[in-house]
Amino acid sequence: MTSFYNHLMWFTFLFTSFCFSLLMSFYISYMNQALYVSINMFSLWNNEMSVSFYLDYMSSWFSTIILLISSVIMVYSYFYMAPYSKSVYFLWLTNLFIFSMLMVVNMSNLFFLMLGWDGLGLVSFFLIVYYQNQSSITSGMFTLLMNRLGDSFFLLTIALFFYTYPDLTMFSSNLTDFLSLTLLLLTFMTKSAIYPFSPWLPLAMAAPTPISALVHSSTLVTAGLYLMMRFSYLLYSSYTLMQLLLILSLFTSFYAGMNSIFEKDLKKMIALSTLSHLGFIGMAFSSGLLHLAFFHMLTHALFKSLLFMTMGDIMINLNHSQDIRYLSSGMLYTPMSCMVMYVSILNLLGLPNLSGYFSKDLVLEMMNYSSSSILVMLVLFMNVFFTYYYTYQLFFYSFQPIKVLPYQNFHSPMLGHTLCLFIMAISTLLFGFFFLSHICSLTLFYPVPLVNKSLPLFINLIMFLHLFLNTKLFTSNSPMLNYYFSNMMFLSNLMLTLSSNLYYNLSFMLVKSLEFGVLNYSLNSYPKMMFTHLSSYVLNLSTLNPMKSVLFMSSFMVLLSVLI
Amino acid sequence: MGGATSQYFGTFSESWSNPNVVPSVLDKPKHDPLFGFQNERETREIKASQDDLYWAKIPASRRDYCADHLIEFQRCRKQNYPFLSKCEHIKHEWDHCQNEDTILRMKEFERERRLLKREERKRLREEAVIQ
Repeated sequence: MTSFYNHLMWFTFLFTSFCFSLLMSFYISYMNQALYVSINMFSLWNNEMSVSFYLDYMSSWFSTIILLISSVIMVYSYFYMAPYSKSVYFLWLTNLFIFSMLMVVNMSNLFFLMLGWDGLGLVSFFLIVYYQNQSSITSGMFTLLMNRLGDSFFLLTIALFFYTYPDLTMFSSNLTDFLSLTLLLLTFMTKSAIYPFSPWLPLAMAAPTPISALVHSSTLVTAGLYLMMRFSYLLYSSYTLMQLLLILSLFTSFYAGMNSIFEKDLKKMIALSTLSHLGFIGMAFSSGLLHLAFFHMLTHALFKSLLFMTMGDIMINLNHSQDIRYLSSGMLYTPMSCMVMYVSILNLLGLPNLSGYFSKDLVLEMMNYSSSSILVMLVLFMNVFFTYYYTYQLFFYSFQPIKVLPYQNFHSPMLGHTLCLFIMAISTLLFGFFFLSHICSLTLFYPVPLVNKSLPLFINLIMFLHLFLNTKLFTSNSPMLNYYFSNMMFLSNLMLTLSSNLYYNLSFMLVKSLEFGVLNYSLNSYPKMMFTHLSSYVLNLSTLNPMKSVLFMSSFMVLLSVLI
Repeated sequence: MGGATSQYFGTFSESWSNPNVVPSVLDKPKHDPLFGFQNERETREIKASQDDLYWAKIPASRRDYCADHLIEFQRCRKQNYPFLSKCEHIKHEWDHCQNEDTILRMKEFERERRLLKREERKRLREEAVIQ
């Protein structure tokens, strides 16, 4: 069992780093400067390979948010994972993930950025398969394959960059041809689950709830969008790609919104909400609202991770039942967690003077001044309508008549656990109001007509009244509709079949031709003994200690990538 | 501009049915800025010099006709950081300048649209005469 002191130690370290990062962010915003640190590792054939960090307002503010969420998760995960964590394996995986994420955020050299990027995908796989059951392994494999697809696009992009600019430094590489930009965009779309690369995100909810709060709401999924913003100096040169991104992002939001209405699994519903917001951020970015998209990414990270944490609290009391229809029972036993959940829900709804209002509603207003047509605005407001619908469903399900499950496990709240939630709740409440002018100092806020200004609030009120007066909450009588939307429009089935069939067929072909064919014949001597000895060593390593195998595999991959 | 607040349905439907009369968002206007004006138009100047813009580290996207207000805002921000509420009145001046600039650009867009419509009407009249 991991001791509380391990978690507390990591919390202290991460929270101290958060405080330092916050001061750094204030300083960089005040000075309006960026810090570029480059350490030359080695030179190879006239090309210098250097570890370079670029600390500007974007990387410093995002690092601050990541460190805040990570530090809170450290304490939260102790209380949540206490019955399940038998070693420091979980702790090390989480820290490895945080390290990879900070690498992606702060690195300027494309090669080392790729290491962090690959690390994110690899570590998230190990975190998803933590529970080691059938569903988590299926989800983990699918997530890994999706992430590897993105990694392959990234490798191709780096190859193209290296051919023209061997430096591989972010801002010196000025490749604006259509192929490079398309590959770059595809890379970021896979990680950020923009359609058609969306299905992995709801499937990744097989991971433990602290991991969903850290990884699948605020860090891993926003890594793609963050790098999109970093590479905006290249991506904005292609109007066609930005139009394509706008359409795909809008459809991602629409897709997630439609599916979340029919979803009855709590975690999947919040995952679809995250997907909807990722589409929203992608749409804002593609319309030219770079700073507002970045600001919304930060506020969304805060209130979504808070929502996951409070959901985890409620789910513990329901014996880990994830059905939304039992939410009211959870509220009976954890009213405080529910109250904190309402803080997150109110931010999702974008009520005035909360963080969600300053980020989301501002984007909705500024979209009036984009060069998009009325159709974009209609789809956008339809997505907003869906957001209000599923958010109010969460709200009203918590007030339904109590449905008590048998074998309920009452979990008394502890001081440390409560403090985590309060820290996050206060950060969520105050961040938007106090930090908008720090982060978006050069953003233009045009005045909009009263109709446009009040439309989101009007839709909000209509939705509230509709669900308040309608005692029978939304259920469709059409089994066809339910079947179609509950299965995410069968996109995950399609992609699983396509990717896994190809993968399995290829691997069977390789096994038949190599292992049972050529290799079997040629290695039937001393090299065979050497290989069997090596394979048995790897097998022993993997069965002895999971952490050792993780370290071995990671170092092996690093070595491979360096050699390549 | 094609912004949704200017003409919600007009430019959207016309961009499909009659694209000749919808000004391009990406290209420059096709008509002479002085066409239809008997006297010279009031010329707009960027009041901030290139040196001022450079030393104030104003990004390229913000080096427009309101950059002088932005420089003042940045100066106030630097002097009063982190109490940024003290600079609200200067920010409002910059916002007001940007708002007027937006209205001017919307008017230019509308002028271009009406000139394109006028050309279209002339072309249709000539085609009708030929037939």
